[in-house]
Amino acid sequence: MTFTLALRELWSRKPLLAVGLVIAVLAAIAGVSNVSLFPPKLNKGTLEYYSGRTQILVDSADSSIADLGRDFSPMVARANVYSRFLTTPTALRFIGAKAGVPPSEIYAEGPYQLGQARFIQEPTAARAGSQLIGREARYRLRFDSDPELPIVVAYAEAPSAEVAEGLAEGASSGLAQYVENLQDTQNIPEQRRVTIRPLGSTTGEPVTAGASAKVGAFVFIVVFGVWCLAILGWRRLREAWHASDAQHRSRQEGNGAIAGDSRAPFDRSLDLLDPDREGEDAPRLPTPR
Amino acid sequence: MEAGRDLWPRTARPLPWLLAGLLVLLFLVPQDGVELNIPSPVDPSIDRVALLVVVCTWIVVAVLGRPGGKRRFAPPGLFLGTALLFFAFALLSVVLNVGEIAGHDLFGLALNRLALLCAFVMLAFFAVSAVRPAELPRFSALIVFLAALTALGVIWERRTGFNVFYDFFGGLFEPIASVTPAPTEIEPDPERESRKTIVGPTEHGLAVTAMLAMTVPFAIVGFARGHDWKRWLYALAVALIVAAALSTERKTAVLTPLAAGLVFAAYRPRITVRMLPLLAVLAVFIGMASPGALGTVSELEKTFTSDSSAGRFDDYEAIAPQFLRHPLFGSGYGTRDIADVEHVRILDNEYLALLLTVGLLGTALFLATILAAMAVAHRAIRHGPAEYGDVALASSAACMVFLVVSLLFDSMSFSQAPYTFFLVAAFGTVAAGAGRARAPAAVPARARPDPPPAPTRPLGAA
Repeated sequence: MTFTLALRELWSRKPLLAVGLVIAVLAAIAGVSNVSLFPPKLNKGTLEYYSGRTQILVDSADSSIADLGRDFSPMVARANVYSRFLTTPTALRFIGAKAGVPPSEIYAEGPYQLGQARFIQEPTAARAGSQLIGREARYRLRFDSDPELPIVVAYAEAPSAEVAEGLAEGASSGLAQYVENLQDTQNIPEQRRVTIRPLGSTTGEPVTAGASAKVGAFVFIVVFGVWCLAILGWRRLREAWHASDAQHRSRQEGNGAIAGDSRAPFDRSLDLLDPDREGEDAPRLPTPR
Repeated sequence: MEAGRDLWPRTARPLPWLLAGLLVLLFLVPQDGVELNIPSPVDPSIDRVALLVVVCTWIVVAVLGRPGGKRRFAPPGLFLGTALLFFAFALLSVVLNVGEIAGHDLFGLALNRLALLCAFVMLAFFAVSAVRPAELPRFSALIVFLAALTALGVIWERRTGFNVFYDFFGGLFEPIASVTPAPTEIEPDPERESRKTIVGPTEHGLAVTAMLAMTVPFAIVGFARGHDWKRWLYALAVALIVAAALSTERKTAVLTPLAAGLVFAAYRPRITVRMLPLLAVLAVFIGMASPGALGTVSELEKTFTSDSSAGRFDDYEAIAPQFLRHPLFGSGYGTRDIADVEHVRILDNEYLALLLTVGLLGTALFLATILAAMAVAHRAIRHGPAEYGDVALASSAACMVFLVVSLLFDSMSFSQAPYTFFLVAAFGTVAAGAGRARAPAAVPARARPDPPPAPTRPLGAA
């Protein structure tokens, strides 16, 4: 009964409902797109992200992975250093150039100390500050290195599958180029050179598949729902206002009677949720003071 | 059926029975450990599915109406309104940051947390709608009974390592649900964990402690008001519940009864003083029922020196950058994924967590929701009929407990604590509505007010 009444009340205010629909649709579009007012422009949003991954083996010129007599330790130590180096602006310039992405729009982080106690891994104020910068970046990279393996793992996230793959592969080829440049500059003999070998990449997989549709629907429902509640609430507020006016007038006149419901607006709106409430058409009599 | 006698449990009204069922679910079934095998856009945990069924029934009852049983009291809307505002604000915080939230794959998490928050608020609205003032003492007794049962289970868990809630009650749902094993650990590796892991029907000792602590005021009121054997049953319930809370070895178990005691002392100082000697009897009982549990009291000495306390102080500095980024509206309710260890700190303070997710305004609304529940109860305690005033007093003390536990851990992360809070706050609202006639609609001849409760004196009155 009461829900039906609320629906009927909303239906009787069709123009307001139409305005609410338009606002909700605009809000939904704004939620999934980049909207600019000056100049008026609507760009497709970047809610959908894709991930790519690549593994990089830090090796020697004559590969150590096939020789049982070779010790991995020097390579493991270098892998650890490279995974840190890859987050620096210098490395990001190489990666950006390889992936065709402006380096200033790439955020890189890692490596993290896996398997440690939580309080060691949790972000401190300093780390949280730099992580916040990364939250807004369109292109994100994360590097991990295993403390026992000469391998760096690069995870990339970007608004398209191709760019995510390109970023992950760019990390590998960018690192290879940087190391090679360094070796050339320092004239390091061939047999003492570190070799960067990509172990293979994954194809770009969607991370937030269907995010635009879900977000658009969510924003639409919330905005339109709030609008409908506001229409209903506004009516009750107005009635309560008039009732308090009448109460005030009757007090001044001293006639001992007040009209309308003098309860607070929200107290009255609870009636809508009350299965035991009196019907709307119940006779309304003056409340004795 | 005459309205005055149509009271739960002697009623055919479905809503109070549904509420009683929800209470049983809340206290005995591990909601976080039972996930129904049904497709759902949000986590199909048993509490949310049950609440959905309840809400559907509620809507059907509301649409059909029930001519024989119109409500004749007007519950104040302050608490419910503030809770609704907080929920609306939580929605707004997600809408405002939706691009960033979706871009970091946190939208699903936010939706789940919003659905849970909606369930909390919905429970409060439902309880206010379903319970009549005259039923409050009966529902209070049900809460105490269920809390005492939970307490027995927790004490048994501490002694034997057997978690009856997961292994028995959770197991009942196995044909239709996935039930996770209980995280109980009574012989922890001292190098990793110094305390036993006692969780009862929750997933963390703090959650069961908070839930039990919020029921203690109802048991105390029952003890103070009861007569003969009932009085001593309530005393036994108080002792069991406090013993169970201390069995979890959490400092919260010591601090929360103190918080409740402050509210009792403020409103009923004489009876509070009269009850103090009983603490000695309580201590002896706890020592026998749950050996070693009293050692939790000595943990208070380490309040400012323990590792966990040091971590709490570090939290303030660590959250500053993120808080300053969205100081007013936060980064979106429910968007802190604590599984993401490298980016998200576990904050042992709900207010800090809310500062990050819903900002200053949202945190103020959360605090206002708790204070509004206490303010609504205040009216009933001071000016309402004595019987309802005592329920309101218990409700207010339980709200104070929730206010304090929110300072001690991330209380909204464990569903039992907020469920209990919204429920007891709703009871306070019903109690406050008992003395208020519904205005201005004329009371038809067939609908006479509930009979006033038998003349009783308020707790502690001379």
